[in-house]
Amino acid sequence: MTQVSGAIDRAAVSVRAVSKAYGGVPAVDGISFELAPGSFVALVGPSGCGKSSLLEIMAGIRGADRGEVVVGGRRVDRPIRSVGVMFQEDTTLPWRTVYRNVAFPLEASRRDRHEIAAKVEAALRMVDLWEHRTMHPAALSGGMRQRVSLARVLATDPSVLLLDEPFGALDEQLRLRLGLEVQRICREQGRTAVLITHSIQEAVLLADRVLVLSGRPATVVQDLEVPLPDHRSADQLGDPRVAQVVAKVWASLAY
Amino acid sequence: MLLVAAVAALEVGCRVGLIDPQIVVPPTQMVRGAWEIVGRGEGWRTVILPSATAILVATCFSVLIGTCCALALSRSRMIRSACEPYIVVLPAIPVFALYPVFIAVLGQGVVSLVLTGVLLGVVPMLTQVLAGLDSLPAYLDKLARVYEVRGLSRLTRLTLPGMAPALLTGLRLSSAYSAIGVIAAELILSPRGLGHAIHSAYESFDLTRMYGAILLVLALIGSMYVGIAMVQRRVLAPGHMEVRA
Repeated sequence: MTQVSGAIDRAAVSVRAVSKAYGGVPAVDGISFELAPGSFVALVGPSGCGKSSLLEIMAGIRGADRGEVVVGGRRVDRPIRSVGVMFQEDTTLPWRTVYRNVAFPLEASRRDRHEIAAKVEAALRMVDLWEHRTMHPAALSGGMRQRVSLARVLATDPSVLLLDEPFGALDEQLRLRLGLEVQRICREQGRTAVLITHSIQEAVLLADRVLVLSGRPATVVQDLEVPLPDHRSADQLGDPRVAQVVAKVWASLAY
Repeated sequence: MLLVAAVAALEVGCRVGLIDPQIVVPPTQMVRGAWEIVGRGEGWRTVILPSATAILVATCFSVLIGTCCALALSRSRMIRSACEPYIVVLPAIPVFALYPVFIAVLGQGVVSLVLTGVLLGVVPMLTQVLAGLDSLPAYLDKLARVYEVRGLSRLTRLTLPGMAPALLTGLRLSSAYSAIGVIAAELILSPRGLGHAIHSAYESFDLTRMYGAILLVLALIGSMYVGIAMVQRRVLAPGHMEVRA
C-alpha cells in the first residue's frame, strides 16, 4: 500500500482508469469513478461483463493491468483491513460454529482475545445471530449463513464493504430483506458500500447511485443518482421514482 | 444382529458336527483360545504388545509420510501428474514379497515389520489426502486471499480443517492397512506377535490357539476402525462430512 495525497483523499474509494485483461481479452477497460464516504453504490451490467473482476481489483485480491484503486487515501495493491468483501457463495466454514466463523479473520490477524470477543459479539448482534452463536452452519438456513458471512465482514470493522451478489443465491423475498438489512447497517454506521447485483430493482432500491456497466470489456455507460431518502423499505418498490431509475438503467443496458 | 446370528449358527454347526472340528472350532472355543493368550502376562508381552506397537508406529509413519507426500505433490501439478500412475499402481505391489529383502537389509526385527506396514498404509493415506485437497472448496482460497491467511496459518486454519473428513478416513484406512501389513509380515518370519502366534499354532495343529489369535487380530483391527470412526463422528462438525464444492 502506498499513501496517496491530493484531491482523491476526499473520496472513500477512487477507481482511476482501471483496466484488466485475461489472456489478451480485455475484461475491464479504463473504468473510473469515485465513491463518497458513506455512499451505497450498486454496479449493474450484463453477465460476465467484468463486474466481479473490478470488485476483486478494488479488494486488492487481483491486480489491475493499468490504473489504480485508492481507498481512504491508500493505493490498493493487496487486501487491506479497511475493505471487507462478501461473496455470492456461502463462504462459512462448516467446521466452525457461527461465533468462530465470525472470529476467523480476527484470529487470523492475531488480534487480542478480548478484542475478538467484543467485535464478534457486536457483529453477531448487528445481524441478529447472537442467539445462534454456538450452532454450526449446517444447522442454519441459506439466509442465516449469508448473515454469518456479513457478520464476519463487519467484525473486521471495514470502512468499505464490497458485496459481490451476496444474496444472489437466495429467493427474491429473502434477498431483498437481507439487502435492506445491509443497507441499514451501512447507513447507520457510515460505511461505504459497493453492491454488485443482477437485479436492477434491488440495485435501485438499495443504492444512492447506480453505475451501469457495458458488456465486456466493462466501461461505465451510465451513472444514475437514486432520488430516494436514506431510509429504504420494500414499500418503495412501487415508488414512481424507483420505476423511473429502473427504466433508465434498462435503457442504458440496451446501449 | 446378523453377526450374532452367524456366530450362533457357526457354534451350533460345529457342536452338532456339521462343520469338521479339524477345520473350524466353535466360536466359544475361539474365545477360550484368545483368552489363553490374553490371560497370560507372557501372552501380552510376546503376542499382543509387539503387534500393537508395530501397528501403531507403522500407522503413525504412514499418516505422516502420506500427508506430507500428498501436500508436496499438490504443490506442483507437473510432479503430481508424473507420480500419479505410480501411486495408482502401488497398492497392487505385493509388499510381503519384499519382506525377505527387508530382513536381509534391516534384520529380523520390528523395523522390517513397521516398514511393511508403512508401505501398505501410506498409499490409502496419500490418496485420501490428495482427494481431500482436491475437494477443498474454491472459496477457501478466496478467504485466504482476502484475509491474507498464508503459510502455516493457512494450513492449520483452512486447509487441514477443510480436509478433516478425508484425513480421518485416511487414518482409518491407513491403520487397517498397516495392521494387515504388520500381521502378515509377522506370519512369515517374525519370532513374536499375533502373526507369529497364528503361524506357530497352525504349525502345531493347535486350532484353538490359532483361531484365538485370529479373533484377537479381528478385535484389534475392528476396535481401531470403530475407535477412529467414533472420533471422526465426534470431531467433525455436523455437515462437515460432506464438503461443499
